[in-house]
This record gives sequence, structure tokens and C-alpha cells, in this order.
Amino acid sequence: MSINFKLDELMIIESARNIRDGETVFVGTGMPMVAALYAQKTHAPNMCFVVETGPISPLVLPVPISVSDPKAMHRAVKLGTLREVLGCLLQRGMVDVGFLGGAQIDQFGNINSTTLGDYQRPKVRFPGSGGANDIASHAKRILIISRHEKRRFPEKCDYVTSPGYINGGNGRKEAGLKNSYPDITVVTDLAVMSVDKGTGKLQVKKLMPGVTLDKVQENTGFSITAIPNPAAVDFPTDEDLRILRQDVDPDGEYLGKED
Amino acid sequence: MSKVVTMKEAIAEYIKDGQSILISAFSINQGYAFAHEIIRQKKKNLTLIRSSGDILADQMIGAGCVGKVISPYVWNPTGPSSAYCFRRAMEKGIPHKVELEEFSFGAFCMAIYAAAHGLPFMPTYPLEGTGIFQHRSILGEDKVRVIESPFSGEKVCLVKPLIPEVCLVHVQRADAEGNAQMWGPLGDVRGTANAGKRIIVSAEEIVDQAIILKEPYKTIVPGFRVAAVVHEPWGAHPSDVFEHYYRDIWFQAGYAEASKTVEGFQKFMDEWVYGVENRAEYLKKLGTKKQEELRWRGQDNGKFHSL
Repeated sequence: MSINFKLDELMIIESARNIRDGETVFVGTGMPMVAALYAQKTHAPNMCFVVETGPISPLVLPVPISVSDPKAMHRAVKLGTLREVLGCLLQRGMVDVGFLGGAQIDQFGNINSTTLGDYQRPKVRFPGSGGANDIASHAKRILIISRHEKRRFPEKCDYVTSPGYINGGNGRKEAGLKNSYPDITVVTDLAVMSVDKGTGKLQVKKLMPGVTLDKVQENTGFSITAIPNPAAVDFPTDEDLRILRQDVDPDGEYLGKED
Repeated sequence: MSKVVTMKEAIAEYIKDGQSILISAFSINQGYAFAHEIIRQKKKNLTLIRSSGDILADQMIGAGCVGKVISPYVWNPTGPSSAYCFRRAMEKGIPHKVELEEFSFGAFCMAIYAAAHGLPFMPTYPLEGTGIFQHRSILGEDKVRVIESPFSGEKVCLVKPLIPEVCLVHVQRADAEGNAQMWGPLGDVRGTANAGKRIIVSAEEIVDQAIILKEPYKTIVPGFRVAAVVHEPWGAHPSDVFEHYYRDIWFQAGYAEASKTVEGFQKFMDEWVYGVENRAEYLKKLGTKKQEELRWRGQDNGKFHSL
């Protein structure tokens, strides 16, 4: 066990712990790539990485800066097409975990990666869905990673790019999504939250070391509850941190340079 | 019959102001030579259809060629950074307002599939409850419609075919009749290259038909579907072409930095687009040393990419 780590690092490690060895994981751009790569290099060497550009089961090189980076194509068993990975794998229900980031995540686990502010006259324009909407619609479980800030966790997303529970417990079912009640887990640098399948709302399940529920609430734009006695996230080991820093993100592309 | 023309001729003859065009390929084989010639010829008010907009769309938007965009995603994949011209257009109307219709990749693929197969529509999974369903611009009510499946009774969304007037696709090789071959990661090319009413091909190499016939399974579109063929080596730089050259991520990162401001973007375009007559001059400017660095050296392609 190490105490010499940043919460950003533990956020990546903790999110990776949600991936089980042998699972098929559809990985979105940014932080999910780092965490999935970490999982592949630690407890889940047999995970099958899938990326929307078409690669299936690549041995990902550290560290792709986007889903179209050739590092995410390295030694893939197939360099498929968009339609094959989005249709034949994801939509068909063959993907265990959909791993995403986003600009906003709301109380129902919906994700916004499109616009901030008014849609017609946006304050900030982001890239848009890409495969994110498909991933959140069809993966068996949805895993989301994000830094925890009030502006990133509003009550309602300015634009719902990728569906969580949409507007409540039966939101997905009413919209007609086949996978109506998936597990949704959100891992941040303050807490781990998951959707309560009755209400469709995010609930705190675990807290990062040294973080209180009050601090989570302070940094969340909606009223958030916790399960009784939320557990503490396990500390990383020295080896976990070595792998993350040296093998996964050696140049500090995502985690910043070491002091 | 040879359909080989210069890029200048192809764009002048086949791309008209106000048309809908699709530039094929997702991250690989991007038709930059097409885009740059369209920009040089100052085409206006085009509807640009792209699976992933990328820098290519960003440059066309910044140059004022595009009035409408239909795409699930527009950004600069290397940097990584925003597509700044796209952002300026959407946030501030610079250089002018651009109408955007956005899809998920899945729904977009189905709309392209419908176009490529001559179908009246394609079903896709439900999109209700998302912004993609609620916000409609160019296609209005026809963007997505909902029906009950006549087979299972479940809710299904329908998308109509996205049929561009002209489809532009860059491939590894073609013969003079337009039989065009591409291999490696195909991204969206199988669908998008076939969606257009008219297809223009640019190719790294123009080869004898005997070479095409040796590996017919690499043919993406048959020659009789193709209106014109352009011989354009390095026509996809700074994107990559499988077994020809790697992606120039340094160039893409440089563009990201330059395009942060209108002035920086203008300077970049003056240098790399307006300041050169054609792709051959662009290549001369890129230099042989850079070309050697980027030239394909084997399949472990990820290894040769590092900022």
C-alpha cells in the first residue's frame, strides 16, 4: 500500500478495477483509454479492447491520445470498420463494458459531450457524440470516469449526448432501449457513484481516501445521497503506481509530469 | 477509357457551389488533396457529410466553403484538441454560421448504408431522450422518425438515406478506368464511398488493370461507378495511408496550435493551401526528409507514432 499518490491516479486505478479479466470493453477517447490500458497491463490481461474506429483486441501501446490513434490499433486481431464494431459487436449486445468520459454527467448518469449552454448558441462547443451515444445505449454495463467538479455534475445535462437513465428509473425502458436497466458506475477523484435502479439516480457508493460525503456534495450540482456506510476506495500499491506511471503514461500525457 | 484528370480539373468540373459532398474515410485515407483544392477554388455553401469531421472539415469550415455539416463528430484527433474553426463557427459565427446536423456514429452508419444500398430508410435503435433526437436542423422532422417494429412491436428509429451528390475517396491505387482499391483499416469507406450519386477517386498510384485483377477483393468501388480519377501521391497527408505512409501527428498538432486564432489559421492556410498551386508543390514544401520519416516501414504502425 502506498500513500504517495494523487487522487487523479487513484481515480484511474479504481475505474480500471471495474473491468474484469476476459471482458470485452468498448473504450471511448481520453481518460478511459488510460484506465483501460492500465487494466490490460494489470489484472485484466485478457480483456478485449474495442475502439470505435474499428480495431478489435489490440495490444494497446502507451498511450493513445484518441480513439483514432494508431497506438490503439497495434496488434489488433482485426482492423474492422465502424459498422462492424458499432453494429456487429456493440448493438448486437456483445460488449460487457462501455467506458466513457464526458463534459457533464447529470443525476441520472446521462452524459454530455456536445455543447455547454444553449444548443443553438453554445458557450462551448465539444466534438459531439461520435460513438459515445452508441456505447451508452448498448453496453451491458456503463463505466464513466470524470474529475469531480460542480460544473461537471449538473442536475440536468445541457445536452444529452449519451443516455444514462434519461429522466428516471424507467427512462431507458420508455425510450425503447433494450438494455433498460444497466449498471452505471461513475468514478471520480472524490467518489465512486452508481445508479440506483429504482430511481435512476446516482448514489455515492465509495469515497476516495480522506474525502467526506460533504465534500462530494459541495462539488456536485444536484443533491446526492449515499448508500449506508459507503466504503473507502482501496489504496493503490506501489506496484500499481509504478505500472501506471512507468508503463501506462510514461510521458505524463494524461497525468502530468512528476515533480 | 481513361478517366484520369488533374485535381484542379476534377474539382472544377464536378464540385458546384451549394452541393452536398462527402469526403470518405475515418482518420485514415482522408482526402486532404480534395479538400485543399476545393478551398483554393473557393467553393461556397457546400453541405459537408463526414463520419468524423476531423481537421479536414475544420479547414473547409474555417475557409468559408461550408454552409452545412452533417456529422457525428468534429474535432482534431491529434493534439488532442478542439477543432477550432468548427468551434468558432458554432460558438461565434466566424467566418459565418454553419448549420450542423449531428448523429451518433451508429445512426450515421445506417443512414449511409441506406444511401449506399438504395433503400428508403434504415432502422436504428431508439434515440429518444437524447439531444440527437430532440435537436434537428438541416433534416428537420426527417432526421429521425419512430415506428413500432411490425415484427416485434418494439420501438425503432428510422433514418433516411444520406445521399451526397458527390463522394470523394482517396485510395491506395486505382486503374485509369476508376477501379479503386483500398486495404488496411477501412473505417467507414465501404459505406461512404458507395453512398454518393457520383464518385471521384484520388489514388496514391495509378496502376495497370492487371494489378487490380490480381487482387480484386481490394476493390472498394468498381470503375463504372467512378466519374474521374486523380493521381495524387501523398493525397491524404497529414492522415495515414496503410502500407504507404504513417500519420503525421506532428503536423496535426502544429495545425491545432496554429488554428487557435483566426490569424494563426489564416497564416497556416496561406502557407499550406493558398500558397501552393497543387499537391506536388505541397509535397515539395513538406520536403523529402519528412516524407522519408513518414514512409511505411511495417505493420507495427503504432510504434512509429509519438509526439
